[in-house]
Amino acid sequence: MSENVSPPSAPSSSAAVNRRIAERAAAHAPLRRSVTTEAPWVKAVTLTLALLFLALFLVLPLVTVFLEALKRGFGVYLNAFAEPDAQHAILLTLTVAAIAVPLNLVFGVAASWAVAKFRFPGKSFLITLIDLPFSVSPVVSGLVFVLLFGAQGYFGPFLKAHNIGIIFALPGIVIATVFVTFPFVARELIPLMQEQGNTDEEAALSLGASGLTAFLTVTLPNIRWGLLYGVLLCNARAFGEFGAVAVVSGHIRGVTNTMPLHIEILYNEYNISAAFAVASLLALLALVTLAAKSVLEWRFAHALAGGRGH
Amino acid sequence: MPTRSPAGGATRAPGTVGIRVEGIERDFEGFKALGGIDLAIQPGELVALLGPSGSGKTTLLRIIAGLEFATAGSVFFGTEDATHLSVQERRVGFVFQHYALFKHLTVADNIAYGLSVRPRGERPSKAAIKRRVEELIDLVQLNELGGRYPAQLSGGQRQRVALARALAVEPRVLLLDEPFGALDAKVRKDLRRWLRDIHERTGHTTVFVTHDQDEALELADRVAILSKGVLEQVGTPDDIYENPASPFVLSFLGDTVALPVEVRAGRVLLAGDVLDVAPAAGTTDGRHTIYLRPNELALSAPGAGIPGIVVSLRRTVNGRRAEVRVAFSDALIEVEVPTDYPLNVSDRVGLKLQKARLFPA
Repeated sequence: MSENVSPPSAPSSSAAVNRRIAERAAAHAPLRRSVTTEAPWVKAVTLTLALLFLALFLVLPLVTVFLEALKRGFGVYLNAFAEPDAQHAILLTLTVAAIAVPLNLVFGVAASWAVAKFRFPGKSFLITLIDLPFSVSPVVSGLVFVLLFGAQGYFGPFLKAHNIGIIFALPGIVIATVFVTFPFVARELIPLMQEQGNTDEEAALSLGASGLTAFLTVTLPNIRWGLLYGVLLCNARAFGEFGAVAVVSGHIRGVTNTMPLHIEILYNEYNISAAFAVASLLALLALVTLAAKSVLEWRFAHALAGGRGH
Repeated sequence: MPTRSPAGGATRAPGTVGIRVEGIERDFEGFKALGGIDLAIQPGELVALLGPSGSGKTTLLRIIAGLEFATAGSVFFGTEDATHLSVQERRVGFVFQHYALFKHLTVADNIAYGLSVRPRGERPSKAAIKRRVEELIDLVQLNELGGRYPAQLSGGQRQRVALARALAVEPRVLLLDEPFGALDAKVRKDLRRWLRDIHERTGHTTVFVTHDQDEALELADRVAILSKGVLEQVGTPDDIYENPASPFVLSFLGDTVALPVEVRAGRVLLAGDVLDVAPAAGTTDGRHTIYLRPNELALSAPGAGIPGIVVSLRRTVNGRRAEVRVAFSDALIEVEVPTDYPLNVSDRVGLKLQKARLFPA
């Protein structure tokens, strides 16, 4: 670009060229705005549209959840959590997430490692397969596990003979949650690890590190923010998953009801304030997740940029 | 104690060994990246693997390091057969083309990495590691930068950290992949001198890969030239420049103009005319190609050397540059001419050769 500005014969230092460009820009600045700046009315319309949309579809429902939950006073609100069924649902949801998220952390890292670092037949098929839970309806995902592990399913007789309960029990809920939330970590890590290649690992090995040490001291730090981000998303979905869990859990109150299922039951029983109270807790968890993500991004913006750059 | 090295007249690092590769072959899914390489590198020697991209030079370096494995052939470190040793067991210092510094570690921690990941029994104490890191930071002239992160360093500084990190583990040999490839011209030149200096002070057997002829000739004790997975020539910079073994080596080491000629009874004929050029003793009769190097040519009056005609004259920083069309061909050759040499466009001249570089066509 700068060559166009300097006369072809006179060798001109780039500093001088830059100065001249700056001078010209300064001279024209009051006359011209940047080419990508739109007319004021375009700005106003798009901004209003976006904000209205946000308010209508995001802020309003969220505010409603909290308003509705607190409508009959704080006492009623707290009462909703005092109920044993509600407490059990909260505990169950936390338990399921506590099992499913670490599992998906391991699966996700393993899958991304395999995709990013090795060449093998069927690799693109595997990448597509990882996305499957995103494209399949959660109800179908749940049904698949009922077909596999239910009383009439393929493994049903075997499980019954050994007195192992999967469907309508904690294992079934965990399996369904793992299935639905599988892509989050892997999707976050695959592009990151592909981009990073394996020179850093080679460097670690050439310096005498074992494979495990190289993974722990080089690979993991390189992917930590992507990993954390994936885990947060995975966790948010694990808390909130409804469809697949609804199919496998059997809605047994105080036994297999997770928070989303509990909310639905309360709502169907016209116990509106209790339903919204539990819903508000679920919404709060989601907001905390989002806040944690934003804090991380803000706090480590430099590390993230550095990790993806050069 | 460091000893005098036979190769460079420099000190030699304790424990550094020579490298010998024998019959190294490497196939990549049917493509032969290396086709039988034999090369012996003396302890303490600084050797350049030079070749165009795709010549297999980086593959050879990575096979020596143990980052890749040969399809056939052996690698020896000193007298030890290292062919089947893992990269960790080989104890090499490898400097990657894009440095591969650990982004989340400071300069000091990067340099300390190799020592701090050693198993507990072999790991030096924290204080010893710290001392060693300080020594190396000093050696590569990165004082005051130990606490910085790689992202905060310039390209040249990153390169220095990468070298210090590789040296920290007291490697048996030092291997560098395109060490200056990602740097701008000025920094390249500075670092070249600096690497030569470090090599003279530490004395590791060093192999570096480059596609830059200047870099190889200026830096290395010996240069190994590769083309299409085959070793074309190995020798000192003077040797390969003065006596290139093949047309490839000749044309790879600087600009050349090639002309088809015929040798008959000790005379060189260009399009039927006898050239004022003497072929080397023992040149067989028949079709040959004569290679002209601009810097081995001198302009003289017509009748001497190879006839030509001046096509253009240009002023340069050092004098003038004449573009000469060689007689009976379309070949143009650029010759540097002193300012006071009387010369005009369309003048007939003779191109006198210091040496007739003839290869059978």
